[in-house]
Amino acid sequence: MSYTYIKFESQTQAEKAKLLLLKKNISSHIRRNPNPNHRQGCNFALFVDGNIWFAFDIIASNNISNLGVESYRERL
Amino acid sequence: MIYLNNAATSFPKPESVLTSMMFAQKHIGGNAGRGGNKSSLQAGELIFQTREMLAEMFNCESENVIFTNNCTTALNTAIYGIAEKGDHFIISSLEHNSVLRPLYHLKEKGQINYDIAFADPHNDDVTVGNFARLVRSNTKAIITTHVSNVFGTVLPIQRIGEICKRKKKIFIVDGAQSAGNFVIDMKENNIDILCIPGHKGLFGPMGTGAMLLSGRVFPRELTKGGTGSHSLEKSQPSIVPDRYESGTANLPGIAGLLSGLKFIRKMGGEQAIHRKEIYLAEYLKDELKEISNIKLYDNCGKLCAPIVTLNIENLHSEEVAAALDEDDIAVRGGYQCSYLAHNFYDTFDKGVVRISLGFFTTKNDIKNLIFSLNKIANQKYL
Repeated sequence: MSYTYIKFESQTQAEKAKLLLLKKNISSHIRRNPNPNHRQGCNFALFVDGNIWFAFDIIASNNISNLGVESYRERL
Repeated sequence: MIYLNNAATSFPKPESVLTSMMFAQKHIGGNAGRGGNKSSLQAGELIFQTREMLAEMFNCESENVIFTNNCTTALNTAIYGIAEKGDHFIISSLEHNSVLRPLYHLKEKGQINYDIAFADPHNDDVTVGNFARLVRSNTKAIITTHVSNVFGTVLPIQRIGEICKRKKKIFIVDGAQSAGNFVIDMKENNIDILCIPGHKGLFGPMGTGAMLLSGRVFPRELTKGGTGSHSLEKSQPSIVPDRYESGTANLPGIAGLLSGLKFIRKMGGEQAIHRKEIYLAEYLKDELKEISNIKLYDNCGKLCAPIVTLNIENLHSEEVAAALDEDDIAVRGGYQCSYLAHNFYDTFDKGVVRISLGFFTTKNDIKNLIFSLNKIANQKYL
């Protein structure tokens, strides 16, 4: 199964984005990024219930720092 | 015990604070930012909620709320984090040693210089003029306490903030005695860095505090290490708040602080709490004026904090504090960690007795205190 999520450097930023989306009636949840790359190390993923690009626009237009949208195919 | 040392730490704490601390330790338990397991994420969420509440209370962005162990750590981070060789600082005549000592240390090393602006408790125009007069081209920052921890004097931070804005200087405020008791709006007061304890007016447990940033100034971090982010980079990450919060967060403490903040909201906010405490402080002052041998320090001005400072003729303040302790009344004698305040008010000989009221202080507590002070002040050996 594959997932698409918005990636954040810290949980604080991810939580901030989650709260902002909730205020706009978009639910989401945070997980540790299941697929961190070797350059960035650990980071956090926000999984959105609904259109992720719409959510991403809201987050970006509110200047919440993020590392963009990423997809991941589950291996286990 | 009648506890009247709330300027040192508030006591008792609301029951909800203790319950939350226990819950966090017993049922959450995870280390925030260290792992993707539920308990870690839940810990991170709780910490974020606390950031949000502090950001709302002091009007800044939640990522700019940096948790520290106490207000002193926050002030040290702010001061050492911005100071550079050749800088000049201005501080008030009422600063706590947590401001004076870092600056004195840097001055002794030949790094910086500082001047002291006399804070006139009865005339804000004089105070503001004293600060403005000392600003130089190399002044890096004005650092002032909002409320004196010795005399309860309230400094005009909004007007001092205007000087900083006009002259483009960094404005650092020590909110040790005012956070939770006064409304502090960082934007309205042009505060760049606000340092606060979590365990005084915010009702959190000891071991909590915060440095709040406006976003205009980012001091260098004092500690480096694991942040749970950018783990494959050898250098400290630049993202806020992570860069300032290396090491495991004090989850039970922050959980308690969150409950303390909720308690303030439930009680009607900072102003409601302030009014309740000031009412009893004014009552105490009025009653003490009637007792011979008691010298009250009227260094408060019109707007005051719930702190009453006094001495009894011929007795050292520590003797008075010890005598009150015999009656099971906790106050603070001595010098309250403030060289400057005692120097400017010439109280080096015997210090002062500081009575600091809290939200849970009752009129009966104050009546008992007055009775004890009356007894001590009129003892035969005086």
